[in-house]
Amino acid sequence: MLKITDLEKIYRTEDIETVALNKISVDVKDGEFVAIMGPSGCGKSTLLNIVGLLDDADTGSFKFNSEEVISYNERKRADLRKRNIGFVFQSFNLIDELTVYENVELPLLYLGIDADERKKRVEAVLEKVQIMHRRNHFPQQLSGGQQQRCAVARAVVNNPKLILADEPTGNLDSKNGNEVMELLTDLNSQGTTVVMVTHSEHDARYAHRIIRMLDGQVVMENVLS
Amino acid sequence: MLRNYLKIAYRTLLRYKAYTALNVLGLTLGLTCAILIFMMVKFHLSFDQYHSKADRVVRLVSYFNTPDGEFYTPGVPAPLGDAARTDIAPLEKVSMVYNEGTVTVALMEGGVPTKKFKEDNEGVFFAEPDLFSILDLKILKGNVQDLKQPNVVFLTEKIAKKYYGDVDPIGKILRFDAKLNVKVVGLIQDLPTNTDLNCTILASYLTRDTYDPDWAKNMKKHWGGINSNTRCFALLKSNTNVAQVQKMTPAFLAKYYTSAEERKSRNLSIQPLSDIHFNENYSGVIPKRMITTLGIIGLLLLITACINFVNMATAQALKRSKEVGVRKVMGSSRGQLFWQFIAETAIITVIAGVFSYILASILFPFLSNWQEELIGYRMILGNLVDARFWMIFILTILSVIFLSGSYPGFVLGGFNTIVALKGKISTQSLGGVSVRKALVVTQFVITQILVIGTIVVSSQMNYFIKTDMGFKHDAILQMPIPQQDAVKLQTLKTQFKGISSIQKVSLVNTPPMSQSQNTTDVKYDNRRDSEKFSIYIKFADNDYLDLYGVKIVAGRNVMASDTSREFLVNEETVRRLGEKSNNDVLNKKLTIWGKTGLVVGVIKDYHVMTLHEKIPPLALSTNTQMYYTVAVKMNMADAQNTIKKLDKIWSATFPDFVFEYEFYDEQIGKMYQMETAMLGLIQAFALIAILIGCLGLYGLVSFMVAQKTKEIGVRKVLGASVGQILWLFGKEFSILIFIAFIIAAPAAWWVLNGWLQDFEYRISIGASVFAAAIFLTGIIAVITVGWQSSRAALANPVKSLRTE
Repeated sequence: MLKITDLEKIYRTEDIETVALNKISVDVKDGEFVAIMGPSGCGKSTLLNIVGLLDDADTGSFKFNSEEVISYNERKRADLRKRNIGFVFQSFNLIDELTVYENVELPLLYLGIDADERKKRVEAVLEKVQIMHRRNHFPQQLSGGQQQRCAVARAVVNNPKLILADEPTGNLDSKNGNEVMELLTDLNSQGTTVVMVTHSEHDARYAHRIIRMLDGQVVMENVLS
Repeated sequence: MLRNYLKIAYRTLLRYKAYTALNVLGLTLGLTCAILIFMMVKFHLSFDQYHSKADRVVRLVSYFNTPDGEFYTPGVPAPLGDAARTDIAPLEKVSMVYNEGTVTVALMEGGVPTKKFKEDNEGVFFAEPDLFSILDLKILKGNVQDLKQPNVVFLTEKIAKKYYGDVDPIGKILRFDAKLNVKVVGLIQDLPTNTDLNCTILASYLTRDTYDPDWAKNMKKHWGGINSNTRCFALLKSNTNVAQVQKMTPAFLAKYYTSAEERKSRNLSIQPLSDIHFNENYSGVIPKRMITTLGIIGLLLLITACINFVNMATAQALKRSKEVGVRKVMGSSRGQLFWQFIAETAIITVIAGVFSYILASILFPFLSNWQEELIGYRMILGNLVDARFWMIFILTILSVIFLSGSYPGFVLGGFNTIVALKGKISTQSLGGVSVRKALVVTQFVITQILVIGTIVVSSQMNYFIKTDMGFKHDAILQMPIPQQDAVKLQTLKTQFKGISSIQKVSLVNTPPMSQSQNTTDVKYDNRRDSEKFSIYIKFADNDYLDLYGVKIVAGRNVMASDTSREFLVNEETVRRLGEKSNNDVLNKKLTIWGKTGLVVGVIKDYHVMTLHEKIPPLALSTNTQMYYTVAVKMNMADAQNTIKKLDKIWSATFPDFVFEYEFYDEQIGKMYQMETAMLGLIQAFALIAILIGCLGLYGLVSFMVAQKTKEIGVRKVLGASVGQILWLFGKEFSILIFIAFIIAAPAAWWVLNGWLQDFEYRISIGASVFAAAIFLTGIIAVITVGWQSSRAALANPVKSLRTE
C-alpha cells in the first residue's frame, strides 16, 4: 500500500540544517499493522506526517497504492487524504465547539455525503466505539478515553484504507489505552491498514511489525508473530 | 456544509463573547454612522429630483463682471421672463417667480382681520401659471388659469389647515402686510421636504403689481436693477440642452443692454435644477464639497470598523489554529476554510447590520432635528428608506463581509497543518505582522486626521467667536420695522427708550454684519467718473454707532435726519479712494444712489460680512425710508419682562403685524450655520472613529498580552521591572502612532488648509495643532492599552510561566 524510497526531509533555519529523514525507505502492505518506534527527534512523527500527506518531503519517492504522490498539490493531497486516510492523535484533536456526533460527522461532510447516509454511518461507528450515549456531549464533557474513542470513530467513519495513529494512548491511562488499542486491532482485522507511532513497547506489540528509527533512518525491523 | 459553518460560527462567537461583543460594537458604530451619513447625502442629492421633468428644468440666474471680481445672484431683471419667452426658442415654458421673504397674513372675515400669521421662511411666492407646467405642483382644487388674474392665491393643504382647519378655504380672503386683500382660489398638495421651493402660499404673479405698486411702476420694465428674490424658472424643449441655451444668452442680453459697459458686465447663466441646492454662488443651501466630505467621513468610519474587525479576527485566529489543523487533516481545502470564516464574518456583520439599522432609526430623528435647526430642512425616514436604500445597504454589508473576512480567512486557510495541530502558530505566521501593523497604522491615520480636523475646525470657529468684529453684538435685540413711517418710528424709539431696562435704541436697515447687503457705484469729491469699486451702503440713525459700539477714527457722527445728507465711510473706503489719511476725506462730497452728501466722519473698519469675506468699502447714512430694523441694547437681568414690554409697544405701533424679535448674537451664529454643522459632524464622527479605534486597540492588546505571557514571566524572573515590561507594549504602539502621524499630518494639513482658504480671516495651522493631535492619540492609546498591559506586567511570573 505504501512504498517509501530514499525519502529525505531537512528542516532548515538560517544557520542550522536538521535532517529529519535521511534517505529512508519503508514499505507497508495492505492490511498490515505497523508500529514505528524510536527516541524523540528520530523522525518518526515527520514520517507519519509525510505518509498522511500533511507535510512534504524534499527528495525521494512516496507511492500510495502504487501512485506517486510526492508531487501532489495541496488540493489533490486534501482529496486523497479525505478519501483514504484516518488520523488518531495523542491529544485527540477534537473540535471543542462541535459535539461528539458533529466531530465524527465532519469527514463525511467534506466528502459531500448526504445527510441520511451520514446519520447512518455516524451512528454505526459511535455504536461500535460505544459512545453513542455521549453523542450530544461536547469534548470537554468527556473523559480522556471517551475523547480518544470519539477520535477513533472520526478516523474510521469514512472507511479509510489507512489509519495513521500518532501515540494514540499517550494521554490515556492503561485501561483506556488498552481499549483504544483493541479498537485499532479490531479495525486492522477487518482489513484496514494501521501505521502507529508509539513510545510504548506494550502498544507496539499489538502490531505485526515494529520499525525502529534513529536519526532519520530505519535501524531495525521486528516482525512479530 | 453551510449549516456546519454557521453552527460552529455561532458556537465560536458565543464562546468568545468579549471578542464577539467588541467586533459587533465596532461594526455597529461604523455602520450606524454610514447609514446616517448616507441618509443625509441621499436627502440632499434628492432635492427637487422628484419633478417629472427635472432633467429639463433650469433656472436663469445672473452674474456680473466687476472690478472686484465676479458677483453672482440667483435673481434676474424683472422683464426677463417675457423677453426670454419671446427670444429664447429652446425654452418651452418660462415662469417668473418672486419670493417675498416675510409676509404678515391676516385672515379676513367681513372685511375685518380676525387672525394674524407671520409667514417667513420664504413661504409666500408670486408665480406665473407656467410654473405648473415646469414643476410638479399638484392642484387639488381650483384651476391654474385662475393665476392669470391679480390678487388671487393658491394655498398648500398644510397652510389651509393652519388657517381654516377643516373648513373649505376656497373663496376666503387674506390680507398681506395690512395692505392688500387676496382671494383664495385654489389648493395645492403640500410640497415634499426635499425641495428648495418652500412655497406655502402661491399668489399669481400679477398680484405682485398690486402688492408692491412702487415695483410695478419703477422696476417691472427695468433691466437695470436685480432683486435677488426675483427668479426665473424655465423648461427646456426636449431636444435641447443647457449648453445650447447658454450659448444664446450673450446675444439675448445684447438686445436689452445697449451700453458697452453693461454688455461687458452683465451675464446670464442657465442653471440646471440639480445644481440649485448645491451652488453657493446662487444661494445654494449646502455645497457639494460638504456632501463629498460627509461621504468620505462615512467611508473612513466604515474602513476603520473593517480594519478593527480584521485585526481582532486575525489575532483571534490564533485560538482557532487547532480547529483549522483538524479540519485540514479531515480533508478541508483552503477554500472551504476561507468560506467558513466568511460565514462567521457574515454572522457578525449581519448582527451588526441589524443593530446599526435599529440604532440609526433611533438616532435619525435627532439628526433630522439638528439639521432642521441648523439649515432648516427636515428629513423624513420613510422617504429615505426605499428599495435603493436597501440595495445599497445590502451591498455595503456584503462589502464589509468580504473586506473584513477575506484577510483573516486567507490567513486561517494558509496555516501549516502540522504547526496548527500542535497549537504552535505564532504571531509571525499570522499572515505577516507587517499587514496587521499597516492596518493599525491606517486606523491611527484616520483617527489623527479626524482629530486634527476637529482641532482646526474648532479653532476656526473659536476664532470667529473671539475675533473682535469691530462692533458689539451682545445683549442687542432686534425687531423688524414693517412700515417706514417717520413719525411712528420716532414715537416707537421714544417709547422704547422709556423702558428702564433699555439702554440704547437705534433704527437701522441692517445691523453691522448681516447676510443682506446693498452695494452700489460711488462718486467721490469732484472726480468725473464713478470709482472703480462698488461700495457697501447701510442706513441707520445717529444712535447706531453708540449702540453697536462702532468707533469713529476721524471727524464726527452724522446728524439726525430723515434723509441722506451726511455720510460716514470706513477706513477701507479711504484706502480705496486713494486718500493718504482719514482726515483727507472729511467734508468731501460723496454721491450714492443719486444722493449727494458730505463725508463727516471715518469709522474704524468692522466686519460687514462673515469672516469668509474681506472687509469691503462701506458708507453709512441716515434715511428713514430704509429702516427695516429697530435694535435695542438691553439689560439682560430681566429679559423676559423687557421683551414683553417691547412687544406691547411694538404691537400698539404696528397693530396689523405680528411681533417678533431675534438676539443679534443668534443672528450672527446663523451666519456660520454651515461651519457649525460641519464642526458638529466632525466632532461626532471623530469621537466615533476614536471609539472604534479604541475597541480595535483593546482587542489587539488583549491578544498581545496573551501571546507575551510566557515572555513576560521569563523577563520578570530575570529581573525586568514593571516599567520595562510596560515598554514592551508601549514601544510597538509608539512606533505605529509615530508612523501614522507622519502620514496623517501632511494629509490633514493639505485638506484643512484648503478648507481654510474659504475664509478671508483664518487661523494658521501651527505646530501646536499637530502636537496636540499626536499627544491626544498617544493618550488614547495609553488609556486603551494601559490597563491590559499593566495587568500583564503586574502578574505573578510563576503564574505566567505556568501557561507554557
